[in-house]
Amino acid sequence: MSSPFFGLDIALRGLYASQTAMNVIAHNVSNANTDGYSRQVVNISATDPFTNPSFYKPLSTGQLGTGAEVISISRMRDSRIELQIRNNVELVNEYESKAEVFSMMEAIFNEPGSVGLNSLIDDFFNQFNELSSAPESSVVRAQVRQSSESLTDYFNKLYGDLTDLSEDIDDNVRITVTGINSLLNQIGDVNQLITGIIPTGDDPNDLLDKRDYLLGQLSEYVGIDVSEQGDGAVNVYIGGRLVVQRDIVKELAVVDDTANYNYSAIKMADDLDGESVAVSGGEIKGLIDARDSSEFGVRHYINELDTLAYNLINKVNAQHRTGFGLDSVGNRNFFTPVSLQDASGSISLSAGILDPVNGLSRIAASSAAASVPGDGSNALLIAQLQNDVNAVGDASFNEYYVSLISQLGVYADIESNKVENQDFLLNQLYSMRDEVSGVSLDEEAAKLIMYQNAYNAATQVIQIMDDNYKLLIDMMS
Amino acid sequence: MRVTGQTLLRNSLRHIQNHFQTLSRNQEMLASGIRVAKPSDDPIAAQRILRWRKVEDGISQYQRNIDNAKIWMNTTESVISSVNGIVETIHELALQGGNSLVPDEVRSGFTNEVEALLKQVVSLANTAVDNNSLFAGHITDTKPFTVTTGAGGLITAVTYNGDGGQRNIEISEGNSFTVNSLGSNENDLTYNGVFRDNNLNIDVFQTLIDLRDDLAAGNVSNINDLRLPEIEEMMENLAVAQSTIGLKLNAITLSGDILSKELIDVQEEIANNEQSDYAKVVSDISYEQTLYQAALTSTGNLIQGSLFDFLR
Repeated sequence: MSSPFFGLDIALRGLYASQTAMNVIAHNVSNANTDGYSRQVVNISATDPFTNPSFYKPLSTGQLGTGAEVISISRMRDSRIELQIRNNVELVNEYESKAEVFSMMEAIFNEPGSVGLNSLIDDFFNQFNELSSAPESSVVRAQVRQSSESLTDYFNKLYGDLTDLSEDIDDNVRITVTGINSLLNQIGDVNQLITGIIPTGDDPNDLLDKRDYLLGQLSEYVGIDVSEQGDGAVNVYIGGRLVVQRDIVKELAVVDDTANYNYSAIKMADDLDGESVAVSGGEIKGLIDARDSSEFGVRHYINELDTLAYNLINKVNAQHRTGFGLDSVGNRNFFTPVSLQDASGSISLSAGILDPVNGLSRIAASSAAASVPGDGSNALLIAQLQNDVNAVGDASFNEYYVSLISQLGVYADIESNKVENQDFLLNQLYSMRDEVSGVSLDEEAAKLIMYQNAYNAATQVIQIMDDNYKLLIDMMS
Repeated sequence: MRVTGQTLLRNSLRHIQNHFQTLSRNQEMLASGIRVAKPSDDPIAAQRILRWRKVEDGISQYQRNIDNAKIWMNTTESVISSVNGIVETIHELALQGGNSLVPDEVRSGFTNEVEALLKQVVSLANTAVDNNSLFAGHITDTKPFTVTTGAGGLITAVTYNGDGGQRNIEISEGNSFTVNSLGSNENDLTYNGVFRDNNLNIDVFQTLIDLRDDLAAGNVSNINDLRLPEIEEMMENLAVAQSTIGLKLNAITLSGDILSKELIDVQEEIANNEQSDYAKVVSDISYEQTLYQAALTSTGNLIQGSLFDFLR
């Protein structure tokens, strides 16, 4: 036979259960807009009934229920969606950082406007063409030198801008590595806290959310692999290297790579001479590719410009050397000869042509020493180099440049489309996550009313029980 | 599907953002008039624009070359036509001088006139444009013809200082055009000379010198048998030179006209690829604006309420 106060106990348990449930709802509502928060639910279950079957059980009808209690507070999370989100975040950020670099390069080249390298090349050759029709004119000679200087200046400017861009990218790589290290340490800290709580039987919901959030942030920077351990900790791998093992963190470091234009290479901080870490996604992968790639990186465009400048220098010089200036002297270079490496950065007119007194008369417009000054045939031959279809490899100067620009356009276009597509996919995944983890205020409000009613009912029950006891006590007094 | 406030907000914001982006892109196209501002806007069109620009620049240059050539050739033509006029006067003098009925003192009176005309011809043959001698081949910085004077300041010989150089300009890709006429072909017999042509045995100066001397000496038979045929041949040569230049001028003017037409075509081609289609852009903008407004309104209404508003 149960105690006369048993009913009071049962109602009290119900009161407590509803109270906890309302507190959890309050927590959910408070965090409705918190990044990375997963909604929490209370799991209420009936308590063990009275009495347990036993040989000595009292002689009463059973079993009698004993009320309800909160057995756990758990977060709503689908780890499969989390993984997909992380993978997509990695891709979006990789594509985004690449697309950004491409759009900067487009701004640098400033095509197809009317003032880019393309029109300066036209100008350069056209002035030689003009010179061929007026080889005696010092005005035209001055124009030839002016347009040539504009051309070399613009080559130098493009080279400088692209080099600056690649250095900016490299700075960003360094900054990103610092960000990665900070996140790794935070993840290690949270790991430690979580592994301390799990053995007590509680659910560290908010810490788990925080760790998921940190992992999400990390995947914006770099591609990661995460493996969950039995004790609640996660191990994190970057490019196959173990960087977080429970609370032990191995940081990344950058070192100047002498084999790669002194750009930053990513190493393990405790093994600076070892192999570079092969990162596989995230912003840092995009940055490194945009910097180094021999197919579409900034380096590629610098190299292509170098090739263009180098061939221009050599072809024009070779033709110029066969001609004669107004002083009937031949075998002079028009440009200063340079090596292929960084040719676009070092291209300049030769000192002889730049000479303020005699420079103009040294421009070799004539084909023979005796036919000076009325012979412009060598100037015409130089002008006709523009139509040489084998000037650079198997393309003319203009064609080579045009295909470089259209290639840049195609890459920029593809990359920004990729960002758009991946963004759309990511949005879908976020919606799927919300479906499971998101806080719906309507839902919380409805539940709040539900538990409030249950709470009210439990207090009513207590009151009635209370009345009963009063009655009993009054009768006995 | 369980939809939360955040899902709604994020999706709405994304769509609003998309509409706004399209709107701003269209607005940019409208304001600048340019459809392809960077290669990635339309890589194919960007490539075409760059290619056509090169053609455009080339045509402009050929047009400038033609303009320069025209100045040169027009001057050449007027010089030759003046020389032609002088030679006609000389022809008449020679005819009169060759008439045995004309008294000797009248005949010798012609010598001064011939000498003066000879000086004029030399001066015309030394004509320069912009200090560049027209008839000197490539040696444009010197006077092509210099005179040697004898007793009494009379011209006894005229020497050619030029060469056989051809002044070629490009009037379209790979097509050269010779602009100049040689004063004398004595250095290169593959071309014709205007004043002295060794292929045709024409020498304007020598003939005039001889005529002057024959007139002075009263050598009527020389005038009739040698000078008059020489003068007639030289008149024919000058006429040929003049008409050749006229024909070349016509040809080069025609080339210029063709280039002008080509330039218009090329510029149109560039515009087609580069410039915005206003009608389309404007209608796109108003369409996007409607969508944008609708999205704003509906989102504004939706995110306002929740069940909490109804709890009392």
